[in-house]
Amino acid sequence: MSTIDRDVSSPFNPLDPVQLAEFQGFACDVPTSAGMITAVKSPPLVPDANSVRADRMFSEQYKAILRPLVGNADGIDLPTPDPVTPHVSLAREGLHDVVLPVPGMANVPLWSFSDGDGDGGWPGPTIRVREGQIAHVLMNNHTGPHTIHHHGIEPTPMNDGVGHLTFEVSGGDYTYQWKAKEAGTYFYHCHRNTTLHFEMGMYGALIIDPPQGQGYTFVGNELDTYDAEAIWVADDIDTRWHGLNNNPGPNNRQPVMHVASGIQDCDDDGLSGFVTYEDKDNNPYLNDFNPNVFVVSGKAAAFGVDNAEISGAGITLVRGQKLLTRNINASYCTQRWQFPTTLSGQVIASDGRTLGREPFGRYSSPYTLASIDHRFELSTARRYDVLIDTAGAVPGTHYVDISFHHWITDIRLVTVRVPIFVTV
Amino acid sequence: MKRRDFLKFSSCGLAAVTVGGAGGWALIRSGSLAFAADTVDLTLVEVDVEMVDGVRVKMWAFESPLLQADGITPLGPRIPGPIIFATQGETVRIRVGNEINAGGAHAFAIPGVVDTGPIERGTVVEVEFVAPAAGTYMYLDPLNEPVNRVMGLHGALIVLPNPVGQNTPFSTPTANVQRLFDDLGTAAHFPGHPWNPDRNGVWIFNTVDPVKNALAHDSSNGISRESFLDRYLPQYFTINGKSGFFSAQHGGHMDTHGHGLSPDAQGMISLHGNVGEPIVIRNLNAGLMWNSPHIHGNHVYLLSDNGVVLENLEMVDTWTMPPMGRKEVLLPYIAPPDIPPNFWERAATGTNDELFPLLYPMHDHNEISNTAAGANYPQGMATHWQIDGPSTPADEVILIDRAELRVRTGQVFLQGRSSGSAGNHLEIHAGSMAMADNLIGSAMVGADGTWSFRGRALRALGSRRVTVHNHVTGAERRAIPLKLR
Repeated sequence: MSTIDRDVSSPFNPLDPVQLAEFQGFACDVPTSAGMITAVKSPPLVPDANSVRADRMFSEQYKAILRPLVGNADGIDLPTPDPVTPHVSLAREGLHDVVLPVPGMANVPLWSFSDGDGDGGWPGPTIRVREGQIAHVLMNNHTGPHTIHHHGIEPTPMNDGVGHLTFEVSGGDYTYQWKAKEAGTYFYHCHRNTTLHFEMGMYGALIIDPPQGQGYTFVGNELDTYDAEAIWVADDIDTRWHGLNNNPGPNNRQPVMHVASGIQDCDDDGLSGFVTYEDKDNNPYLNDFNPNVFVVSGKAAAFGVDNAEISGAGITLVRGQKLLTRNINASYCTQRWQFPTTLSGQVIASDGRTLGREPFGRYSSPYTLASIDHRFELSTARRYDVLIDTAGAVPGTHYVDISFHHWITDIRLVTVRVPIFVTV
Repeated sequence: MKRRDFLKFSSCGLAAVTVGGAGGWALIRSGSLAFAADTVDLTLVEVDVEMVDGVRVKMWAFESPLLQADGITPLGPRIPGPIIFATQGETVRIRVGNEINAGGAHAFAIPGVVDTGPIERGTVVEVEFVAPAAGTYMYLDPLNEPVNRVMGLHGALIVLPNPVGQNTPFSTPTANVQRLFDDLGTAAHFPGHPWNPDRNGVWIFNTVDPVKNALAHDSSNGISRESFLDRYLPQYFTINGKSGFFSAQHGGHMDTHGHGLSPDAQGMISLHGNVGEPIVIRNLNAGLMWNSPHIHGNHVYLLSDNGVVLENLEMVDTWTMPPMGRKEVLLPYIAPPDIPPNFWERAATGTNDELFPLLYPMHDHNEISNTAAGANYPQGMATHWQIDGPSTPADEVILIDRAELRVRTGQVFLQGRSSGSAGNHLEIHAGSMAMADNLIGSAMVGADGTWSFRGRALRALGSRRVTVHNHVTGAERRAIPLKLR
């Protein structure tokens, strides 16, 4: 019988130290901020994941900045390359001891982010900057390794937070640098072992406001205002996954992170280090996702209840006011959002890009909810912004229904209801 | 199957073009006249496929004698099968043999276009069809749906429009698609170049459940779709048949000039180019899960959905791929917008700390699929695209606005545009290749970016095609069909 090899059309030779280092840097030995500094200060005799990655990304000028660096008890910080003075400086750190109350069942352990002062909660604190600002986001190494990927923000790779192509923050801190180019709805999340860390809850909203600040939004090229804002992040949880990492590690902060969460081991053949499907003790089976808890903006629906109302995520406004809803799918389900036919509004942005806004948005236009029967589909990580005008709305409760559909079968698992209260 | 049976498309479907000799899109990507042939040969075969972790899984594949990028080695069995390129309106002939001794009946089809019906084991069936509207199609074994497709019997047919007077991937673009492609390389927000029709990415997603695959493979009459789908649980997630390190880190990055039309889907998963070199990415989902591909570094424009060219072009960083979904997106290859400007200032003087290439991942954000064998992140649906450097005039793209041949006199008239530097010299060659013995003249790019050529070219009478080539920049438009007058 014919065979097709895993490296067909792109041969891989693990006997070549550089190729092996690249392979290891992709998964089993993802470079770290501190590890790359060490590799620059004292290059290994045989190239390793950190040295190969550093050689690909770092100019000689940058290496010269790294060589004299000396760490302290807290580790050694990797300086941001090509730095500029920021308009906004923020800090985030991983948070491993959050719990989600779920009506009708036991609390679910979560991971999240806290800000530099230790204030956390779930989802992580919203990052909010204005269009045009340069942001610095310090990620410290007190937990982790973790990273921050600012989803939808498009900086240089080193500021993009993807370990397998760049590095993870460990052994010291790193400050991500990016420019808030276009107002819109984004989010941030950890990009280490993302399958697990994103599901564990390591995310928060990221909003770029127009230069005028919160309360303003672009509709096409025009600046508009809103009176109330809802950031609705709809998520699903498979509680089995949230029991995978309860073994306390050093300092009781870091769960056992290696084999138990499915990271492969390093080897010298690119084969024997993989976690196998048969290894029931060590395989987290992250291909098997069956959500049983459903959440909007950190508030869980009652366990096992279809069409449950999540009043905690609801929003109240006075008739005549305008409501901006920022709708984010942070689940692994396909979501179908049904907005109330009793409210009129329009879809004004998609994935952080304002429809109809010059120059890049000139090939699109905003559209009314009525034109799409008040419903749209969001697959994982997609966002739509909807601007609702309650002038003429009937006072009372209007529901946004979010249906979660299974990632393989597309069967609807559950619908949750988020209320919009319109008062007079 | 014979080596000489390579790929060729006759051009009789194009209303204004008579049947040519050796002309055709097949030659555009071949790099060698030795590729000329009448028919695409595909054979359905059983294969033992190595997953990213070395586990071997039984699958079925299309085997093809088409050549890899080295121009020597046949592709052989591949999942997906070879990418087939055609020009809208041309007649495509495909010969399909069935050598699979399992899974019941097998067939070849492009839904809505052609269907061989069941092909007996050990036999070969030939079908002919007219290439449909420009766009991206999935060819597959449609029987016992979705079993035979998910077992590996799928591939992409890419239909390009007549290249004359057309700068989009579609024959009838919507107003906004036309405006977008007109703006590429000309509007202030798209510095660089227009879309080079040779710059195509293809990402075909699939899922693999070894347990179900073994059941399907081991049953000579096929297992029912119901038992295949019952508790279907994929362990491997592939882009163009590969996963993780092997779909991301390695291999056959597209040549900027000329070989972006390779049939080797597994050799061109990662993308590269400079700022200002937009690329059309053709997404197909052959698998059984809902994928949500997410690209870093640039938003993309959604151009089409299941064959419908869109009018309202949303810019997204993530798009939705249901099973059997088809979407074309344009990756504009702009400077990533959230890089502070000082980086580009430093790069211009070689004083940047962070080096090119800038590598950005593309991965399924339905992160379940970023695993292999239940773990081993990110050895699943992951690849990357890279920005090799700032925009440069050397990435010249040549567009053809008019291409005519007066049959009685042998007079050729060509008119076009170039995104390279004014004063660039373009060589005009008869036929489908730029070779010394078929040079018929040259044209110079004017200050306004246009060029034209008028001259007698009896040598173009045979193929009714010309090739425009800049041997300094390497820019080329091959096998331009001449309208006969």
